[in-house]
Amino acid sequence: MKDEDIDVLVIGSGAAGAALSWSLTEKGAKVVCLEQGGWIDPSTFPSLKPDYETHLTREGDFNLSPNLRDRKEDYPVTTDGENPPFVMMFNAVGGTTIHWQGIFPRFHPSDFKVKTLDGVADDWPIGYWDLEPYYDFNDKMLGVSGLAGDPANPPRSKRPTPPLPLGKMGHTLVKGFEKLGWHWWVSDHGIISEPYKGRAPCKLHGKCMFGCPMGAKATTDRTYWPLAIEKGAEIRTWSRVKEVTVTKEGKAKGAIYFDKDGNTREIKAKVVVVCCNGIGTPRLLLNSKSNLFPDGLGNSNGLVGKNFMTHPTHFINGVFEETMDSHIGPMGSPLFSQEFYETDENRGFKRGYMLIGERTFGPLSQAQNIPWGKAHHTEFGKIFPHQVGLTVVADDLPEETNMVTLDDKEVDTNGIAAAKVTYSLSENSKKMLAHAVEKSTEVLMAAGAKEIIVPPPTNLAHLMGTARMGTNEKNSVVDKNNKVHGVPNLYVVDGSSFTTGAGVNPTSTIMALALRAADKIWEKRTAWK
Amino acid sequence: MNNKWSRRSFTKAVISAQALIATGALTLPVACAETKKTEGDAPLDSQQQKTLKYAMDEIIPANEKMPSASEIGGVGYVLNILEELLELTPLFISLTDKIEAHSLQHFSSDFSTLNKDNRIAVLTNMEQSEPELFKVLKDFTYESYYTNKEVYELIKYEPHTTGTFGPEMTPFDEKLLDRVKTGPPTYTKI
Repeated sequence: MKDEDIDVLVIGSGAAGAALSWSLTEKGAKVVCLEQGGWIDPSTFPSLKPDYETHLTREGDFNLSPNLRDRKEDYPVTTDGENPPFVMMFNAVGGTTIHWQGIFPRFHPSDFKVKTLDGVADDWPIGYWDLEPYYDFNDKMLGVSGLAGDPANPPRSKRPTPPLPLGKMGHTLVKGFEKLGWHWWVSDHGIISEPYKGRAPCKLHGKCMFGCPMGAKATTDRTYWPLAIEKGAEIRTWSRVKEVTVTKEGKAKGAIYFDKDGNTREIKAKVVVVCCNGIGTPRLLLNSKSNLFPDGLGNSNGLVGKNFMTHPTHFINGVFEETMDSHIGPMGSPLFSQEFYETDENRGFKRGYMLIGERTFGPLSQAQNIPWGKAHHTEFGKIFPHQVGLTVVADDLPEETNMVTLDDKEVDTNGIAAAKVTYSLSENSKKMLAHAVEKSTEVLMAAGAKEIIVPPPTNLAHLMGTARMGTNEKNSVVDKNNKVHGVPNLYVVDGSSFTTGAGVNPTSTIMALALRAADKIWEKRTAWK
Repeated sequence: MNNKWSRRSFTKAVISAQALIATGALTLPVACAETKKTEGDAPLDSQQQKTLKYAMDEIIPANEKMPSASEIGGVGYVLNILEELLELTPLFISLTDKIEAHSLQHFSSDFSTLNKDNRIAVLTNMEQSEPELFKVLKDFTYESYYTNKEVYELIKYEPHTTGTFGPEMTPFDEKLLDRVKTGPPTYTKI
C-alpha cells in the first residue's frame, strides 16, 4: 500500500490491533499495521518438544518475560516498588496471544461502575451492555468454547464450540465446590473444541502457553490477521515505532519507525491507533514528545503511565493422595468460581476475585521447589502428579503510584528508552488475597486435599490502566470511544485503556473494546483528512 | 528464530504443521538428551566433568527406584548445552572451580574423593555462600533430569507434545452443573 493512501495506522498486532485492523479493513478502510516482531514459525514452538518446560526455567527465545527472552524485537522492562510484577508479553504478529492461555471470561456489569456501587476508583464511561454485542461477535469470530447459562454472569449466546474437558483435577475441584455449595462454572476459552472456520480443534496436548501449532488456540495470527490481510490490510513486520508524530495543529500525523535493517522511516496516516499493551502504549506515548506535547502525547494531565494495574495472582495448590494428572489437558482453566466476585462489605475489602482451576506444567516446573539431596525423590513423589491448583485473579483497583515510566538508563536495540514498572500491592488487594487463600484452602480441603501449599503471591502481569478511559479530560487519557483527549485523530485501544481491571483475565474485554473502537473510528470517517 | 518469515512462508508452514500433526507424525527429539562429546573436544576437561558428575549426583542422588542425575546422562546434557551456548562455559568452569576450592578449603581434598557427607557439606556451604552459582548447578541438574525420557517413564509422565496424538479425556458432562444452574443470578444487575 502506498503511504499516501493509508487511512489508519495501527501500531501493534496483538489482540486489539488485529481485531481493530480486521474490522476497519472489512468496512473499507485502508489499514497498515506496524509490528516490531515478525511472523512466528509454528515449527519452532517449544510445545512440539518434550523439553518444552526449559523455556520457562531458562532464558531463551520463548520465555514468557521479554527480559529473559531478549529477542531483538523485545524491549526491556525494568521493575520497582514493593511488589514488582513478573511482566509477560510477546512481540510478534499476534502479540501476547502467542503464549496466552486462552482463558476468556468477561467483565461483570458491576466492574464498569465501581465508583457508583462501591465508592472506589472510577466508573467507566461505558457499561457492560455497550460492549456486550462486541463480546458476542468476537466470541463467534474466534469460536470460543464454553457453555452459556452461568448465573454469576449475564446471559450470553450459545458458545460457538462446546466446553473443553475438565479432566481428573477439574472433577476433583467440582467435588469441593459442590460440597460447599459454592458457585462454579466451566470456563470459556479462546480455544476451539471442534473444527471451526478452517481451524483444527484442540487435541488436549496442554502446551498452550508454548505455542499452538494446531491453530486451535485463537491467536490473532491465525484468526483475525488472515482475514484482514485477505481484505487488503498490510502488516509491516520488524517495524519498531519510535514515536507518533504530530502536525503543527496538534493532530496525529503518523509515526517514525525503525525497519528491520535499522533504517529510520516515516509513515503518514489519517488516523493513528496505538495498540501496544499496558506497558508498550504508555512507553510510546511518553516517548512521543514534541513542542506541542512536551510531556508526551495525551499526557497534558500527567496520567499517561499512571494507574498501572496487574492482577495480583496467588497459586494455591492442594496435594492429594490420588493421582491427579493436572498436567493433562488444555493449559489454563477447566473451570472457575465467582462465589466471591461481587463486593460484600463483611469481607473487609471492596470488589472481589475469581478462583480458577489451574492446570500444572510438567515435572520440571513442579520440581522447582523440591529440595535437593537425599529426600528429593520422596518429596517429588508426594507432589507429582498429585497436585490440584487454584489461581486467584484479584480485582486490582487503580492507584496513581503504580505506574509505567521511561527508564532513564535502559534502552532497546534501537536505542529507544525502555519502560519501567513501579508497583506495590494496595491494602485492599492484600486483604482480598488473604481472603482468597483462606477460601481456596477451604475448597481444596473439601475436595479431599491432605496438604495445602501456599507460595508467596506472584503478580503475573496482565497489563492494564495506563492510558485509562474516563468521563472527562481531567481523570483520564482517552474518552469513551478510546480517542486520546486533545488529539482528534489518535486512539489508544488495548488493556491500557481500562478504567478498572476487574477480577477476570482481560483479553476478551480488550478485543471487544477494539471492535467497538473500530466502529467509532469508522463513524468519524468523514472527518478524516 | 528466523527473522525473515514472511506471511507466505508462515501460511505454508502452518499448513504443513497441521497436516503432520493430524497424522501424528510430527515429533521432535529431546534437545541435548544424548551424550555425544568426546574428551578431546568437550568444553569441560575430564577433571571438571568429574567434579560436575559428583555434584549433580548429590543434587539428585539415586534411590532404590530412581537413577541419579549422572546415570541418566546429566553431564552429557550439560556438555551439549555448552556446545550450543558457548557463553555459558565460563559459568560452569567457575562452578566446578568453586566446588573444588570449597572442597580443598574445608577438607583438603578433591571433591570426588570426599565421602558423601562431606560432599553434601561442600554443596550446602556453597548454597549459602554463593547462592547464584549453586542455583546454576541445581537448575541444570533438575533440567537434565526432568526432561529425560527415562525419567519420564519412571515417573509415568507422558509429555504429549503437540506433534503427537493428545491424551484421552472424557467430554464435559453438563449434568455436573445441575445444582448451580438452579441458583438465582448472583451478578449485580445494572
